[in-house]
Amino acid sequence: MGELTDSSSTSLSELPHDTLVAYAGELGLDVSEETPRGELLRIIRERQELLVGLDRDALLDVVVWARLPVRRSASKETLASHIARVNKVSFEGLSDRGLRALAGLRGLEIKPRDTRASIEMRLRHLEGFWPKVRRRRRAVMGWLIARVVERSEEPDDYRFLPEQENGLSLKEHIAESGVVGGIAQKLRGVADQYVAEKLDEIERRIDRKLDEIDSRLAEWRDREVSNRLRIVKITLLTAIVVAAISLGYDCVRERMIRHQPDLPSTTAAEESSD
Amino acid sequence: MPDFDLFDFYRFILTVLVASYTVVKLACFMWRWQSFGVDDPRGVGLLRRYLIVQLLRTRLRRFMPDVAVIGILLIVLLLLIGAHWR
Repeated sequence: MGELTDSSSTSLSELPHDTLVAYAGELGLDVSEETPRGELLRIIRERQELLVGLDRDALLDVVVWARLPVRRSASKETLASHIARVNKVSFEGLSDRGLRALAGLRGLEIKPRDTRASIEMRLRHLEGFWPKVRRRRRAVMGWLIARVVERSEEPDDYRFLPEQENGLSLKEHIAESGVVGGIAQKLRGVADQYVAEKLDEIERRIDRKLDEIDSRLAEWRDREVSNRLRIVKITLLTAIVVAAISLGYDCVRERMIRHQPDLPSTTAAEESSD
Repeated sequence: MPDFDLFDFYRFILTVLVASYTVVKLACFMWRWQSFGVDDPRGVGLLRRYLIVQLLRTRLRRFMPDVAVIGILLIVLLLLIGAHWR
């Protein structure tokens, strides 16, 4: 969809509806299949205009602030789609231009005279009540789990993803380093590529093995939990049986004690009849 | 002659023994897990984190029938114990 960046309004309107919805999603817009076509076209054009107006460095500031995994050379559309998934409302460490870009992408109209504090406040007001409650609940859970699982370490400096390298052609190698040097470099490149592929394959095998171990451990865990629960059930059943016997004994004894005073009177009656 | 009941004596001894055994076992269990949770060597820390992740990944819904049965048995036991005082 990247080729749509410079597409004219005519080519945009010729696209099928589902492609338009997907493209809107890539631009970070929240649309559904039910959105009318005219409305969809309008908001896509507005977003394209907004992206044209936004400073790329400002978007990169947002990316660094939110620590999103993107390449430095990523297009504005890619950056916008990544930024659209960010729900952070703590703007500490975000530059002013980044904050303005973020506000624009979240649909706020920002004027040059707006202060940083007012923009932050408006961005916070955009978040609804329940999303805020959910975010706070997750923050508490995250804090609790991170305290147990992770040590309190300062996060490393943000780094962009490495750029994809396009290998030079043989012609370019020879032009740069001569015939022998060029061929040698090309061969080295091929060998490196082969080694890299093999390493990837080994990594994939290790990952598969780790997944297998993980699933076996999960099975063992479930079996263990089931066994423990069965033991608890057996213990409880035994306790119930013992408690029932004890209660039965109490009842029998109580009944015997209740009937005991009658015994002398009945025996006296029997004696008098004799 | 004092009123001596063999079954009462048996109940009393059983209660004392079972309660002592439970307390000692529970204390050992908690002490073991507490030391496991505090120990700092890298291997133990790694294992601790892995266990916590495994615990969080447990699907409780899978054990719901067992938990429900345990709940019912527990209620029955409590009713039976309560009936002793009536």
